Amino acid sequence: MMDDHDPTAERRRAQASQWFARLKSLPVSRGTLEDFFDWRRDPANAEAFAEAESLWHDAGRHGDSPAILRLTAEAYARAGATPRPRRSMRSLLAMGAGVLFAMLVASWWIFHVDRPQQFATLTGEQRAVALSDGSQVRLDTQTRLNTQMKDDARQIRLDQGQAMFEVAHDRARPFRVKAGDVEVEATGTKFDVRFVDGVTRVSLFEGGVDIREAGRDVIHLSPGEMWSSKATHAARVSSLDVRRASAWTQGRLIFEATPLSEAIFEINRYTQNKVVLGATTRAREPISGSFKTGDPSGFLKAVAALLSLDFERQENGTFLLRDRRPS
Amino acid sequence: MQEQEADQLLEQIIVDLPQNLRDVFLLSRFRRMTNHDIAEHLGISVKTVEWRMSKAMEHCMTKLRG
Repeated sequence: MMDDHDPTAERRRAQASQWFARLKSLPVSRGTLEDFFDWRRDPANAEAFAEAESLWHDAGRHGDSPAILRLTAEAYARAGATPRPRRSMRSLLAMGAGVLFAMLVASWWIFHVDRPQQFATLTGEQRAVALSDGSQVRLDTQTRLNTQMKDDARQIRLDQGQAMFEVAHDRARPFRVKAGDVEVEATGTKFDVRFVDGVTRVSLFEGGVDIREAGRDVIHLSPGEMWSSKATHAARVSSLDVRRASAWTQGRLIFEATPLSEAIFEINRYTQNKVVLGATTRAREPISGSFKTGDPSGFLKAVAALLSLDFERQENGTFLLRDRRPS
Repeated sequence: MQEQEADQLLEQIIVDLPQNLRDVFLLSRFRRMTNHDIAEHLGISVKTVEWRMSKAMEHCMTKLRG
């Protein structure tokens, strides 16, 4: 626990609040997100940020309280605080009626229509999104997902890419993520779903999820397990390397004896400056190491050194990784 | 402190926030408006929204600790 009157703890709380507020201004740029991760790497900072998140979550329980409803309506009514020129009584009345009508429509819309929302990231971009139920989603590069909050369920559709979900506990409204033909259902948990190149992969960090596929038995994952739609049925569940599986949220990719072609595919997901493997006979060579996403040069230098390859920048911006020419 | 009391306390802390901070907090939390939406709605800058939001959060966190 942090000491209540410790000035350092107070400063951390102030910083946590600033980060919390700043991350709500979407989209969050990559640089900002990296600064945030750097800051949060300090466990005391992480604790302060978690405190801000739980405050936000707990406050959600008061949405139906009369005092909160009234004050929220008052806050909403204070639109456009900039002074306006005087208007005639009639136009004021008409405007008032218009505003009232707009507010009625808006409140009906907010409370009764489950608006689907779409979130997306470009190549190399990441985004942190707070969903209206208090859940947090972090989108990785080249990701597109839809959310729809209903009274009886929270529906997410992952059209492509990868996302880490930290689900707010709500037993009455299961949290479902659909990716391809696979549906993952959770009640309060932390998991990652990836849908890239038609393959769905689910990694479970905390809690439990059920995985459904048409015509197959439901599979229940335990924390520390990973499931892939690509593997043969018997081998679909494997144990999860937590550090590796969550590395992307820290802006890193970790390879452990990963075939070179696969490693290049992953590196390329985060950059416009693609790496092209000219030395195709080396595609299955194992690569290990931790690399920063969005910057292929570190990866290229390491691979070139490890496998005695050369790389060069092509005119179109790609990096060609090729066999070393005999000198 | 009982959970219910803690809950009551949080609501009171929110109600007692200075109005300009409270407005931004409430619109964000309960109207689900984005920082950008709030800025436009209230006729202030996004940076001001962020500042008020962070002050509101900081204020609540400090008060909750008593």
